[in-house]
Amino acid sequence: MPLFCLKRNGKSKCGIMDNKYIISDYSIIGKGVVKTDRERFEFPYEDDDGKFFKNIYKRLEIDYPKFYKMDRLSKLAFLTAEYLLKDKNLPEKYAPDEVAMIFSNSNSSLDTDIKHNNSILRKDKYFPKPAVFVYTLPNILMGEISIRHIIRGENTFFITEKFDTVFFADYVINLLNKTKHKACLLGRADYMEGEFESVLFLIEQSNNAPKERLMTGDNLMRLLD
Amino acid sequence: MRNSFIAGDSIITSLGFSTNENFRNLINGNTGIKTGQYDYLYPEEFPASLIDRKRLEEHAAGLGINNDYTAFEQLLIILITDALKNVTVDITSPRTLIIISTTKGNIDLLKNNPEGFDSERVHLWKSAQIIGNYFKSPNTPLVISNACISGILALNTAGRLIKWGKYDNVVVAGADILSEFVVSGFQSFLSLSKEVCRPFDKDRTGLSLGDGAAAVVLTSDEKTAEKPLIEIVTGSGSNDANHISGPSRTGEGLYIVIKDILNGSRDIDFISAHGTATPYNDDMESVALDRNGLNDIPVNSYKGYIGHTLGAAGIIESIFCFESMRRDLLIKTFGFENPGTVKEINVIDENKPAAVNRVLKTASGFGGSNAAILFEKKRKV
Repeated sequence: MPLFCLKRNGKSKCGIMDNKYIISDYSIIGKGVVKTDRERFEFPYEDDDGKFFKNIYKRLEIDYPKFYKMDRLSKLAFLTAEYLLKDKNLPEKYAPDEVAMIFSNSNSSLDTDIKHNNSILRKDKYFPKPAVFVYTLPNILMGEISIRHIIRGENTFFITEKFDTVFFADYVINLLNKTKHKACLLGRADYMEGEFESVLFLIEQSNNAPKERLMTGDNLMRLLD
Repeated sequence: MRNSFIAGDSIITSLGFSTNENFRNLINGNTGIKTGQYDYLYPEEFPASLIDRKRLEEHAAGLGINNDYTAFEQLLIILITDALKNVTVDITSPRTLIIISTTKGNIDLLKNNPEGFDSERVHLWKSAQIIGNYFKSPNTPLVISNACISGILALNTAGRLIKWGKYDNVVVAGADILSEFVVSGFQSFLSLSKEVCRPFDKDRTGLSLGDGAAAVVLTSDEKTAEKPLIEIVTGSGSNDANHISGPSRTGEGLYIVIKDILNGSRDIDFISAHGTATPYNDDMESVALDRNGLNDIPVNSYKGYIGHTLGAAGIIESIFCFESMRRDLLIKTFGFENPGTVKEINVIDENKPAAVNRVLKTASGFGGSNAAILFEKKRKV
């Protein structure tokens, strides 16, 4: 196996270029269900995701008023992160800037874009609102998660038609191998007019993990099924 | 060890249709931001930096692409074509990737679509596919949409993919065209200046917006690269974890990215800041520079020339940095007269010849996002 050496802050870090990164946990929100590695919660879903998201939020028993100000896409990603990270205590394991976040989706912020667009369609009903406009960028959801969990690593939001797990597995492994980051939240969150998907993976270093949890595109895909 | 070198670039803004034309206007101290009544953007008069649409149509017609492509797509196609001119990079090779940087792409189609473009075109991945198909790229282009730091992230991602051996060449192209969508949003935030924006000045009152587009061709091959050799050394990103729309008072994220890259070194010749000219943003940047002990390093903002070009800003402004390196010339901050940031910084207030070998380019944006990238000119051996 090839050796790699990385010089950072004057110190060299060497290791074997192996897949030592694992999918240590994940959470998924689908219609009527929230699941993580160890838990599964069912929530009634009757074509009203506002109520659905609220119920998921209430089950967490947290007091975080900012949640109510978020758009649907941010709510969805925020809740997914909450279920994944609620008992993780990331700040004890990593410095804030050692945790990276890589997200992608297909619709960008289009659901909220349409809301903002509707507010400027007619001159006699012209009422663009800053509280809506700020959510017309997909990366805002990473800002929300960063604020909540004090994560100050690198954030990048990609737009891809499908979740290309092979590309992202490779990208995250390289990011962890070759930059200062020690853990990465890899997410896919999409919300468009009542249709949504959301998943968040926690990728960490480990020398001891079952093969099916090694950080590979196939393993990510398998967990999505 | 693989490097990523600049092989070609091109820019389209209100100041011109090539890197050279744009930079000549910078040297001559011309701004493309003009106050006017732009009904398609906003009901009242306001200053904006707009691309000459007639000229764009002519360029598009020259390539035979006027009818099937939106203005946004035309810009990307023209730019990539121009950036590849005189460069031996094969865009149809599986070893070449295209990365698109934009915040809103074809968002205007939500409102105005008289030509009847397929509504799917509002999706950024669809635009990217269209660009990829035009150039017969065997790889699906990547899209990065991360507010105002998109361009820097795109360049940094491109540099990495080359260094990591994933590709030999990457074409990074970014564009954002002003729309009523974006102008109304910034107006609702009360963040637009009533005059041409004045980065870092004590009387700054807000930002100016601009149409903008640019492309950079990167390559691992020294022979293919443009001379003098300019390379992406490294880059970094960070979230303030503070507020989704307001800059951090401690400049946390920007402080972190600069510290990451320089690691205490002061070996840079100038810093091309984000410098939007909003009171809070520019103060935040001065704090981040101060915390890194960089108060005396010359710093500028290009926003007074072409406004804030959003998803294209990081790419256009990086190319301006390359030009400064090629010509050993520092460009002044248009609109800056009197210092007025919470921490004192060394804002460039006149064009001056200087050895420009290492440049730090920074960006900050909504969502608490910050990024920076370090460029280095290789001295002749």
